[in-house]
Amino acid sequence: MDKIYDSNFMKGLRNFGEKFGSNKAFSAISQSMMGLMAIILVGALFQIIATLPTLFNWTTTNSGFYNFFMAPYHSTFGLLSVFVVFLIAYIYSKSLGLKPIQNGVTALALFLLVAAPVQTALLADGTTTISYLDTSALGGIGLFVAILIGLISVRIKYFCVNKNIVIKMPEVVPQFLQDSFTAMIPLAINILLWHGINTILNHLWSMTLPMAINKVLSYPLMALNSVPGIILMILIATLLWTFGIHGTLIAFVTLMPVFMQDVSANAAAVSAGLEPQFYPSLLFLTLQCAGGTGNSIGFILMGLRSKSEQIKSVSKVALIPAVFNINEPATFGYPIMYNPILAIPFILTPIITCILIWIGYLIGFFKPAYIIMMSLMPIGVNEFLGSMAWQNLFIPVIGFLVGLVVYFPFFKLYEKQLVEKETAKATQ
Amino acid sequence: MKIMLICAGGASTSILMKKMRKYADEKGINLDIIARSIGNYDECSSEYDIMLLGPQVAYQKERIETATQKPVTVIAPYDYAIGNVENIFHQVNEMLL
Repeated sequence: MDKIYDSNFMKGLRNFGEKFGSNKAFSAISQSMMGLMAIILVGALFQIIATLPTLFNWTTTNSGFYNFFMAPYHSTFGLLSVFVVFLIAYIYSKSLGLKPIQNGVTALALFLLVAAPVQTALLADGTTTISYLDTSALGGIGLFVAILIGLISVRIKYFCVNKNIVIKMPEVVPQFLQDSFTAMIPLAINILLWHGINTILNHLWSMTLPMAINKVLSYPLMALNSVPGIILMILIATLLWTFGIHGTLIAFVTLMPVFMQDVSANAAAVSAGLEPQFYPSLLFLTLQCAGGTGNSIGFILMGLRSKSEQIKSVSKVALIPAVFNINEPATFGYPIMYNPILAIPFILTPIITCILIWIGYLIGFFKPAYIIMMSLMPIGVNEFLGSMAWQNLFIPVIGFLVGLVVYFPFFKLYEKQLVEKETAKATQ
Repeated sequence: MKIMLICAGGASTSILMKKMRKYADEKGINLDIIARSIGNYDECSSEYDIMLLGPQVAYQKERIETATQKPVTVIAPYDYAIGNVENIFHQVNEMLL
């Protein structure tokens, strides 16, 4: 059975995971998201404070209280794409050996140019004109453009520098001046490209680039953001973990822009007094709702009283991390990685959990999330705080019960194997 | 000895970090240790002698090596899981010698 890990398919999958995960562009996206985790969490906390009293009808969504506490949310998660475009360009250019700050700022300027160009308007009093930035595309909606501009603008700079398409200055010119001149041609190309595309789109279809990109991407994303699509992503995540690769991170970075757009659309709906909608992307995190990826806390609890010394001792150290949805001690300890017996329930449990929870959403029992919760929290906290609905506390309960049932036969099988090995060792 | 532990989110390594601190205190080892994620390890990596990776981010080893120019090694999966600090220190000593 161990041979399946040497099969071409499994080897290919492992290679894919490693290549994808260490790809510079991909790393730039995931690193920038990780770097923003704290600020997103702070925004979400304020959003929770703002929303709580409205649940009991103590305040409304246009009260002073609500607006006061929503302001930090609007300036954090509501401007997410601004931070993302800068950070992606910063990190990506750093890994390519370019000047990070210069490229970060360039990408930010290009992004604002297409997503929120400076505009002027005459106020209703007929005399005051103001100049303003429309922030509507700077949050979740602009995320794809932010990622694209962050990566492509740096790539253009990299191309120009490599092919020597830059203005050369004599040796005596100081370095900082040389740097500014080097930046000029790539910057001009970038401005012409992004501003040009945006203007053409504007004139032909009266669309902005963020709108157009979301529209073009909506077809492949529709396939991804569907229940089968999410199950496939869960499968990829758990399969990669069975090689000891952090598959959840890899799958989630792919899915993250969609997930963020969906949750922010729900946040806007709730602010407007509407019901949050169900999106399949909300199902992805069910793969780690009860003990981290693989929902293995049921297995760990069974393992505490195992006859096998190895299972018992790993279960003891894995329990507390699992309560915080950290699965590494279990995955590397039992181990689940490179272990076909435990890989089967590890892969099956999240998929079955996901389908059951989807049914729960269909019948209207679970409430869709409208607050972005991406940090590691103890079991149940994310599910509750994301939706502010007590019903969603049953998401981890389902994950736990499914895990208990699915892991049990494999637990017994593996335990038997280990006990035989352990007694053989002891009698030697 | 200055060690930086790196994993995906910085959570599972922070468990290990506490165990290593405790062990170092008991054995009288002078240890400066920090747990970081692959998102923010480079902010202060220059202050540390060696980077230890959690097995789940082993595929980032090469990238972190070029970014930090420091010795980088992946902790053995079973030692990482159960927090076998003695083995991990052994691994570090072998790298630094």
